[in-house]
Parts: sequence; structure tokens; C-alpha cells
Amino acid sequence: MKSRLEVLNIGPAATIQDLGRQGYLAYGLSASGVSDRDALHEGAAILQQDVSCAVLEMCMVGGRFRVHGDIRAAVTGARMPIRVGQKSYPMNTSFLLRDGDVLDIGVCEDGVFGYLHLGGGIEVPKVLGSRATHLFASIGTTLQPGQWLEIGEDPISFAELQLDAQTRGGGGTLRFVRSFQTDLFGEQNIQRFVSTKFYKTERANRMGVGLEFEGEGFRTENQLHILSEVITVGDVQMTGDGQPFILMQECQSTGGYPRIGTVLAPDLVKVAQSKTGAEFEFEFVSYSDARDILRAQESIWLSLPQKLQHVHRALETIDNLLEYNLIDGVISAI
Amino acid sequence: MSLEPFPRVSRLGMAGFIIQFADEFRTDANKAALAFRSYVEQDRPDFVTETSTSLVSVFIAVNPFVHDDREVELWLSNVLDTQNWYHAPLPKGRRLFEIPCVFGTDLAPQLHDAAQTVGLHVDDAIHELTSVRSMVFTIGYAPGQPYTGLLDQHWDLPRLSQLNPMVPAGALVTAIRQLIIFSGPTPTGWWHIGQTAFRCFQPKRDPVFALQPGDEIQYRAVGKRDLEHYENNDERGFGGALVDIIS
Repeated sequence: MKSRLEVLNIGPAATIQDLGRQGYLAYGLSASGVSDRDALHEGAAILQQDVSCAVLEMCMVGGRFRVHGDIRAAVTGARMPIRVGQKSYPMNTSFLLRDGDVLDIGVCEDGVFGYLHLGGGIEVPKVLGSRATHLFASIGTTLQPGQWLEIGEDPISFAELQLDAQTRGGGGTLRFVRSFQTDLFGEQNIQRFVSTKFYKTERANRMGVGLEFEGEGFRTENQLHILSEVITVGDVQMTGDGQPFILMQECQSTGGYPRIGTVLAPDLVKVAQSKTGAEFEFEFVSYSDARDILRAQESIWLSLPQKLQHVHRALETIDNLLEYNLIDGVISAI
Repeated sequence: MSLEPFPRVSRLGMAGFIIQFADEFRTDANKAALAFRSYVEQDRPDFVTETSTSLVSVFIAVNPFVHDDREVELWLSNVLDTQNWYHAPLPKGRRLFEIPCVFGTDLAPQLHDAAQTVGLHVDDAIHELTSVRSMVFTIGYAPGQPYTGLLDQHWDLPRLSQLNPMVPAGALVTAIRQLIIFSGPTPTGWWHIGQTAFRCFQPKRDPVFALQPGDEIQYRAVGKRDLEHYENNDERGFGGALVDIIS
């Protein structure tokens, strides 16, 4: 019988995700998929499985799950406390869930999106080739208590493996490239844009992230008469009042607001994982530098399996003894 | 009227290229976009990963790792030069959907105001709306959602200044001489003049997407009980629509 995970409790915006579904823009459907692609690759590497396995994306708050069957697991992305009964586990490390265990993933301590990876992947039915929830398109829904998640066949035997991974929130510089509407803003606006500090607002979800700043809005000439054109993920559109809104993986397929440029995919992780109020700046890069940046990200993903470390038994026992008290402290702090 | 500087090829960040056939809505530019995309799809080079159209432009998604820009730009300009796209025939495989629709009533409460604003008696408005064959210009914004038209000039209604808080899936709405059937429940600034049981997007059925750009739609006025019957009995989710091949 297949292993299953019973959702006892769950944060308000948890969804099943994978790499998303490509190829349906012509039908008005954006790709969706995980908000933090690095975290998806890290989890797949830790569990030594294919990156196409579906995972649970948790936003700010984890959940409580009862385990049916034995399941390999790992949590990546935003730092969240992980507990199974009295035992706590570190992030970015594989652990084995046993039949009857109750897994608790707590409130996120750093970052926004945490990921629960399970050996064999989560097996909700595929829609158009992908298991990714797309809330705006009504493909799948947020997870609810009482739901059961089927886990796929897991051919790999358990090994305690760890990856040295960093969290990716905290704002920073967003590298972006020019796009077909950039020139509509005029050189003066463009210069002002790249020398302005922006702050992440609460208007942030899987569709897009609003930014705020001090000063006048960024506008184009004739902005109300711009035709609706295709949107690509990372586009920075200026809404009617000239405030930037970064379009994320669950965005609408077309839009009529002008776009000043497109943030490169590796830096969208920062946008997604930074908390409200985080400070951002934009920096134009050339197309050829952008290509190098995208290549570098691919090669980091490819090299992850070589960076895996075995967790040392003896050390782990000590860790757990130490952590036992530490965790008590953490829990009372929450 | 000169179309210079169109068609215009521009880069769309790292995602690929956009070919704009106009910078305002024109039916010849819309047809050019559909024909161009169809041509590219028939013999798609390896470096093209996806294509789509919006009202008067084509998006060519390109794998950033397997090409250099000049190669793609050269290929695009060669394809553009093969013919006058503004006069190219529409792609084959287009269909006519005859869709049952309740006009007005409590299901579509803005027909009356819309008719008044365009200067027509309600019955005449329904007659016009059921006589016209509107073409799907593009699918977008929400999955499977068609933008169709064009209605006669007097239907150039502005968008509502106050949003409709929510219209249901299958709602027939109008503004700026266009008609949309909404694929899901949504707030909108368009006038809600009719209600169909036609589902544009059904993730759990085949076909997932009912319509394609180039398809045509004609509405048939029906009563509420007929619509309910179609809603409950049409297993395709097409709300009783008849489908014919055009070409």
C-alpha cells in the first residue's frame, strides 16, 4: 500500500507545487510552480530524487501531519522548526518518518516559503502534465485539515544526508533586463528607477509582489492606451498610480500595464522569500550577463548532489541532546 | 494608412521575442498575428519553446541557452518576409460555436442599462447580439477566456466606472465593441448582459480549453429553464452549444 500523509493542521496558504506547467500561455494559463526553485532543487538533491517530484509549499506557517507508512522527508527553503514527537530535526537534512509518527512544522523563522519534500513525491493527479496548484486558475486549492496526501513509490533507501543551504530572504539587489516596453518610460524615469530604494508591501502572493517607495510614481506616456500584451514571469509592471508590481509564477497571462523590465529568475527567489518591509534595489544587466547568470544557476543546481554530506551518527546524538533543551526554548518563544 | 513601423520585432527580456503587428486593435493585425503564429507552429525550430498571441502580437518564447540573438532575429525576419501577413488567410481548423445564452433577467442584470446606453430597445439589442458572428481574437487574462468581436460601432461602451463585484463563470460581458465569456467567477468592469452555461476552461475534462483564437461564436437566445437543462445535461460542459467546422 502506498504511504500517505494525513493533514491534521495546516497554515492558510499551503499548496502542492512542482516545476509548473509550461506551454499553455496561448490558452491564457501561466506556468505556476514553486516560489523558490532553489529550494525545490535542494530538496530533490537531499532525497536523491528527480526534481519533478511534487512538494508541499508552506507560506509562513507549517502544519501538523500524521504519517501512514514509512516516508523519507526533508524540509528546505524558509527556516521552520521541525519536530517528530519529542525529536527535532534540522532544515535541509533528510529524516525518516515512521508509520504513526506525527510531524510538526512550525512558524517560519526566516523567509516566507518552506518546502516539505517526501520520498517518491506527492501524488495528486496531474493536470496538463503538472501537479502544481494554480489558485488563480482554480487548478487545485490550498490544503485543508482532513486532507490525505498520497505519496509515490519510493525506490530509494533511507540515508541521512545534509546540504549546506542558505535562506534567501532579506531583500537586496534585483538584477533585471530591459524589455519591449522599457523605453516607453524615458531615460529620466529609468535612471530614477534604478537609483530608488523599494520596500516589499503586504500586497504579495503567488501572483505578484507589490513594492512601495518614496516619491512620484513611474509613468509612461499614453499609459492608458497601451494594449494588453503577453506577461512573462519577473516582469515589473507599473500599476495605474505608478507603483511597481513584480509578476510572479501564478500571474495572469496578459496585461495592459506597462513594464519597465524583467527581473531574472534567480533573483525572484529573493523577492518571494523576503518579508514585508524588505529593501530592494534594481540593477540593469546586459542580455549576455543575464545569460551567464541563468547558466550559473543551472550549474549550481547540477552540482548539488556533490555537495551532499552524510550526517555523522555520533555527532547527531550529541546534537540532539543539545537541541532537546534548545527546542524547548524555541517553542516557548513562539 | 501606413503600418510603419510594423510589424515590429522586440526582445521580451530573456523570455524571447514579441512581434507586434500594430499598436492599437485592428482586425487585420489580429489576423496577421494568428496567421504568423500558426505558420511558426507548423515548423517550429528547436530553439522556440512556446508561442502565443495577444490581440495584435505574437510571443515567441526562446530557450536562452541554445541560441544567439542574431540567429533568432535572422530567422524571424526571414519568416516575416515570406508574405504580407496582413493579407494572410486565417489558420485552418477554425470552428463555429452556437452558444445558448439567457439575455438579461436576474441572471444578467446589466442588459437593460447597456441597451439604453447604446440607444437600443432591449429586444433590438438581443436581436443584434444574436445576429452577429464574433471571432475569438485572443485567449487570455484567465485560462481559456476568449476576447471576441467586433460589434457595430454603437456598441463602443466604456468600461463601468464601478466594478461588478463578481460575475459567475459563463457570464457574457461586453465593452469597447467586444464580447467575453468569463472562464471563472471574477470581478469586472465590463457589462454583464448575458449568461451561458459554456465552460471555457475545465481542468478535469478533455478538452481542457474549449476555444482557440480564430474560432467564431454566435449566440442563441434561450430561457432560464433551457439554460438550466443544458447546464445539467451537457456532459461536455459546453452548455448546449452546437459546434461546426468553418474551415
